[in-house]
Amino acid sequence: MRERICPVCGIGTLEKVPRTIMITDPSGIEKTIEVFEYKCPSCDAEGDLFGDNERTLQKKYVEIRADAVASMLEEFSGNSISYSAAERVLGLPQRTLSKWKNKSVIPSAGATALMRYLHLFPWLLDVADNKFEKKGAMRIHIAAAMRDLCDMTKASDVKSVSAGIVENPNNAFFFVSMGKSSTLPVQAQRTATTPVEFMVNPGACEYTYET
Amino acid sequence: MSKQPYYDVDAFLTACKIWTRPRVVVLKEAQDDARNDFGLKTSGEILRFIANDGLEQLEFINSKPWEKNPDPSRSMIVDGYEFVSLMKRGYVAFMFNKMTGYWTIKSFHISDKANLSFVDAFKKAGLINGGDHA
Repeated sequence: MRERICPVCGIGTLEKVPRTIMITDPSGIEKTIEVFEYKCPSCDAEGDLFGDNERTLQKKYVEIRADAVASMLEEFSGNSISYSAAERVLGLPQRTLSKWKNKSVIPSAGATALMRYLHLFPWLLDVADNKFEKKGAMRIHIAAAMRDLCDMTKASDVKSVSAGIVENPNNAFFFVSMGKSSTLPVQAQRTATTPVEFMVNPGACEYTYET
Repeated sequence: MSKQPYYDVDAFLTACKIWTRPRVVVLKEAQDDARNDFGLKTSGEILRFIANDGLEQLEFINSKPWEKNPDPSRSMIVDGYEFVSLMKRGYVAFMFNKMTGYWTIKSFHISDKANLSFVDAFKKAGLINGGDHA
C-alpha cells in the first residue's frame, strides 16, 4: 500500500492505528465503533487526517439516532400519547411515528430534533394542537413551567402547592406557595401566609396554577 | 507570543469550503473536543460548520510556535482565535504547512476563559456589574 506522508509536518510517514470510538446520543444510548486512524511518528499528529472514517461514523450516528427515536416513542406509548393524535397536530402523514418506532423508516436529523423536544416538553403537542397561536402557546408554556416548578419544590410534608404571578401597577411577583395543612383550601392558605408587602389591591392581575 | 495573526484567517476559512480535495486536517484531540463540546461529530461536520460561517465573532488571541514541530529549521506558527456560537464561547487554533499545502486544526474546544457569552449578554444589558457597564 502507498505510504502517506504526514500532512501536518510533511516529514513523518504515517502509520495506521486502530481506534475504538465511543459514540453517544443525548438519550443515553452508546455504541462503539472500530476505525483506523493515522499517527505520525515524527510530530505525534493523530486522527482521521483524510476523513476516511466520515461515512462509517455518519452511518453509525444514523443508527444511534434511529434507536433514540424508537426509544422515545416507546415512552410516548407509556405516557398514553396517541401516535395518530401526535401525527395529526404535527401535520405528519399517519403511521409516520410507527414507522420510526419500528425503524422501517429512519428519521431525519430534523425529525430527531423534533422528537427530542417532544420528549422533553410533551406540552409542545398542545401548542401544535392550538395551531401554534402565540398567546395560547405562552399560556401552555407557563402552566407547564409552573407545574414543573411545583413538582421540583414539593417537600414530602407539603399537602398542596400553588404558584403564580401577581402583578400590580408597580410590581410583579412570582411566587410558589406550599401548604402544609390540608384544612384550608389552597387559595385561603396562600392568603393567610402571604407577606403583607406581596398583597395586592383587588383587580390586580393574578395568574395562578394549583396542584 | 505575537499580537498579530500570522495567517490570513480568510485563507483558512476559504480552505474549509473546498470539498473536492480538502486541504484541512483535524487532529484527534480537536475532533474529540469538538464532538464533546459542540456536537460536531466528524471532521467533515467541523469543516462544514466553519465553511457556513459557524465561527461567529472571531477574535484573534495569539500566535505561538508549534510545540511539536519536528523540524526547528522551518518555523511553524499556530494562530489561536476565540469565537462564539449561541451561548458558547469557543477556541480554535490552526496552522498551515507550506510544504504540504495543508491546514491543520489543532484545537477546537470551549474557551478556557469559560463560557462567558451569557455573562457578557447580561453585562451589556447592564443587569450585572463589570465590563462595559461597570
